[in-house]
Amino acid sequence: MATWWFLVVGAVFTGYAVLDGFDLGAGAVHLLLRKEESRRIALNAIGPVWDGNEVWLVIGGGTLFAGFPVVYGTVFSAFYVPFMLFLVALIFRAISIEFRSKEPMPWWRSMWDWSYSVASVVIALSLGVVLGNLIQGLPIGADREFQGSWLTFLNPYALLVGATTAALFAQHGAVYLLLKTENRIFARLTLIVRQTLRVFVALYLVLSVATLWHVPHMLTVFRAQPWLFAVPLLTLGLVLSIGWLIRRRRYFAAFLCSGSIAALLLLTVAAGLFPVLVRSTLNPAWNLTIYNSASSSKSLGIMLTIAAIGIPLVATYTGFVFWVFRGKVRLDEASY
Amino acid sequence: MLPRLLGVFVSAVLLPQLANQLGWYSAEVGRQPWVVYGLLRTSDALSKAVTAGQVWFSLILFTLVYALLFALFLYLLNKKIQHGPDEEELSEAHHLSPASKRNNPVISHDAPGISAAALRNVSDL
Repeated sequence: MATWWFLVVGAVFTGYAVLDGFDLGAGAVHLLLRKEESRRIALNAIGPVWDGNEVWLVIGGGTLFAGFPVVYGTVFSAFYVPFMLFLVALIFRAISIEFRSKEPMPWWRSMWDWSYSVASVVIALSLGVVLGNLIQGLPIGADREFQGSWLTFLNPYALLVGATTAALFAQHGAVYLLLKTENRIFARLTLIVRQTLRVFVALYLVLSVATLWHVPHMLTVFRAQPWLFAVPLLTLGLVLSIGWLIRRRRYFAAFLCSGSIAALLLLTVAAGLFPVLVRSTLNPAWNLTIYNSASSSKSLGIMLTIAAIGIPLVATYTGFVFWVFRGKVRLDEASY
Repeated sequence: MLPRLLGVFVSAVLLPQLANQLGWYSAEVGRQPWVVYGLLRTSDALSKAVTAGQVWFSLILFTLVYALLFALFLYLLNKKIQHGPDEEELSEAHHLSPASKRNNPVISHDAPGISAAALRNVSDL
């Protein structure tokens, strides 16, 4: 039962990374678009979908709270200060999108452009930093409480994972914007896609080496089950082919490719950690696993039923929204 | 009579906000010392890893953020009120002919306060 719930939590966070990944990425490259009209088109490209994509983060928090309350409590308490700053970034990103078009003054619009873009980068970075910390493990005591300062949050390896996440999202978002635009902004974006891709590939390679060297415990599961090496190898293959797809102007395939990379990277982490959710750096016996931190079987059973109904529902309406707003962006009276 | 009544209604904008905040406040304060009534005490639910200083930090941070949001909200709301309804919105509501739309006093931006003609229009809605 706990394994099923682990899969649900994993699937929801993967859905979040793939979906919100591209609109956070669109925010990250926003300031590279110089013209007022380009920025409006870029905002309206994510306009109908960005808040729906963020719902997956809410579901992710909810599934963690319902299924693994100990993990939820420990991790959110450990990183209380970073999570508060993360929330402020989420608030500023949302109000920037909404408030930007309310006044015509250039300083007003530029202020919200900056707030939107900086908040998007901060969110993408901190998501990666959380992931980096979970890969390394945290100083968790016998009482399942975090023992340490929240400043341990910002360590070199976690920051590297954060930067890689932000670069992947930026590239994912830039390809999404390519799909939604035409003419001059499209031409500008083809350059931006190449730049972001170069940064991502470089960081991805550095991160892969750093992971093998710095967190060898991630390899234990892979050594026991060698067929699992197919996942990181497939990721590497996709990372190398994305540039080829972009040169061949197969942008939709490139978009699916960067989404799959985000999903496969998370799958690699999940496979490497399973059944541990939060590794204790103090004593392996104090690890938070899917067994010692799960809710009762009865709770998990009820929640699985709800998730089995709710998640397909959210996936369906998400798909429907994408279908309704398919095609290139055209600005009109109702645009941001 | 009618303008005065409408004046009273203006202040009713605040009532749902008040009901929302006070309702939440009563539920949270009324439940103490429990965080889950009858099951978990607030003092037992407290995280050991979060210090009082961190809680102060988040409280002050969110007070500042919400104060800023409130100021922006008032500024933009005031702007929207000063601007008044768009011609299109009015014509949709009234099915006015283009000729009568031009003479509609509600859309004249320099009218001080709410004119009697505007009130008649509002009461038609």
